[in-house]
Amino acid sequence: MSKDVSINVHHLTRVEGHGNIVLDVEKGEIQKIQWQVPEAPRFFEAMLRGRHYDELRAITSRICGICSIGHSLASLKATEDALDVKISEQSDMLRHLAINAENMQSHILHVGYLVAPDLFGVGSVFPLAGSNHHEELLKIVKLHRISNYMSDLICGRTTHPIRLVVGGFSMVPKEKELLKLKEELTGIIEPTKEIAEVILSVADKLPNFTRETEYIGLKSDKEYALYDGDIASTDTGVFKDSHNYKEIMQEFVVPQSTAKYAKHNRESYMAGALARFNLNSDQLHPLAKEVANMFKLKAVCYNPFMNNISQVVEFVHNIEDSIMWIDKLVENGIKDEKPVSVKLKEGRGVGVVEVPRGILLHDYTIDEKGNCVKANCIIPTNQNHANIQLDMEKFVPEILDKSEKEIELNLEMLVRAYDPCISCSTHYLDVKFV
Amino acid sequence: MKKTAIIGIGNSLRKDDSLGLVLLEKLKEKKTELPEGMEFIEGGLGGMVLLHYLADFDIAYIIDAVDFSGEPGELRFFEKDDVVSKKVKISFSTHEDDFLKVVKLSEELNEIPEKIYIFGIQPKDMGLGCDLSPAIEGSIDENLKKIIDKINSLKEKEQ
Repeated sequence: MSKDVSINVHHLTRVEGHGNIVLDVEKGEIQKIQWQVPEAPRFFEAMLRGRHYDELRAITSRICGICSIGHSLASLKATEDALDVKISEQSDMLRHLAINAENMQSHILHVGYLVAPDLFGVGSVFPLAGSNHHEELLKIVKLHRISNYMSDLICGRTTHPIRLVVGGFSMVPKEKELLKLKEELTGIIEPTKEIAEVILSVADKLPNFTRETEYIGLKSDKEYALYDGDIASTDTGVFKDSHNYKEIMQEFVVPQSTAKYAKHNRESYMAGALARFNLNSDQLHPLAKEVANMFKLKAVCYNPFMNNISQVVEFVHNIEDSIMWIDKLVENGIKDEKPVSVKLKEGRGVGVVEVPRGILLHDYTIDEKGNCVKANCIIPTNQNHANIQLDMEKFVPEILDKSEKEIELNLEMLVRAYDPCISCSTHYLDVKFV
Repeated sequence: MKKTAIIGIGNSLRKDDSLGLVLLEKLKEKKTELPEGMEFIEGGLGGMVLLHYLADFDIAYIIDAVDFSGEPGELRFFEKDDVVSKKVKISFSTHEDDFLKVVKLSEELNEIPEKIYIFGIQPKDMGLGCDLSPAIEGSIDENLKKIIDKINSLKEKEQ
């Protein structure tokens, strides 16, 4: 083949960051494939230095407008680990609900608003209104609305939670509010299954591409790990010592990116819903397993596009899981607890949670006055950059026979499948052929 | 009673873009001068979250920075259809294109409020920063009064 392809994707977005794709093919020979991340550094870790322990959560929540609950929880877990604070069983259960709420909010936003238009062949979610997919759109909006309502109820706000504090919760929902939430969650099981059916009907639009890689996420004996667990890899198993996470999450810099890349046992690894599915699929709740079977999704799946489907599976799991926690909370009786009081001490703490895009870690050192003196945050999207680059290097030769437009769409879909934070703009990549 | 919301939209890190949020806070402080039962919503940058807010109300007042090439601080009042039909010639700034799309989507999903009123105020400086530019700062009290008067007169008409 003597085809020339020159793609220079350059997109600047003010929302969460920037991503570019450069592809040069001359006479069928690939000269350059590069996934570039020219994001400006944000200095959150530096901002934390000198701040009192009870401010850290509110500051780090602002790292992300989508994962603000997850950042809050990672921050609280790191702070509580450093200060030896043990939260109550009720707070632990409510935090499980909080993380489910965020996962649901984010997954339905990604799959419903950002990926579905690709599958339905339209440019964005807006043309779906009034089209023959109008009913599906109504259901997607309903699922998103209930997810937002749940975040609001548990965390006090849809985004940037206010009730999550060091030692527990500043305010807890009432029993009747939780029962109402259970009713709403039960009510969206059927629409969720119907949306899964619709996605299944167009799932053949997801490219059949595979590349073996390593998957890293949390793993727990108790549950499908989201709020808590040990760092684990599909290559090397469970790593018990989260304080030495740098042995697993080995960050490095590359010339084409201002964001760090990460690797462990191979040149790259993937974090996110597919990583969690690959590590923990046998711990999914029954309906979620059914949905995974519908899509013939089985661990270990090496197709990054199936991250979208893993998100659908997790959405169902989050509904079932939340109903389970509400039942337990109601059975125990909701107590109007105050947060556990804190005794100041020097210490270092690490908090790890799973957020929609993957494993998230905060590491704080706190001095005897309760001020943070050192901080490190490892963000999921950064852990995926190296994997995206290597996926592109394998994927492009497989699709070179397609038109430039199709190559462009396929590459957009690949990046979008990872659900990077920057994808909150509908058109993640603004493609310009040169 | 019709469920009514005042929604301030804007980015508090982009100087005059935050005027919708500033006015929202001031209106909250003066809520005794407004009809009873109004809800005050910080709409932030807008986006799809607004779709869910809109679905909850019969009447929505939106306050936002709007670039219509007017004098800094100048207030224009218009209704939803004035903008969608381009009867009002304005070029919306930063996030309002999304806002209009969300309004359109809300309409197509049959959950739009009966009335959407927009108070658009001409910004001067949309650069980075937490403060309003002096021209906008100086217009806040007057615009606050105009907004309160307008909401009250619309309420009277409604009755």
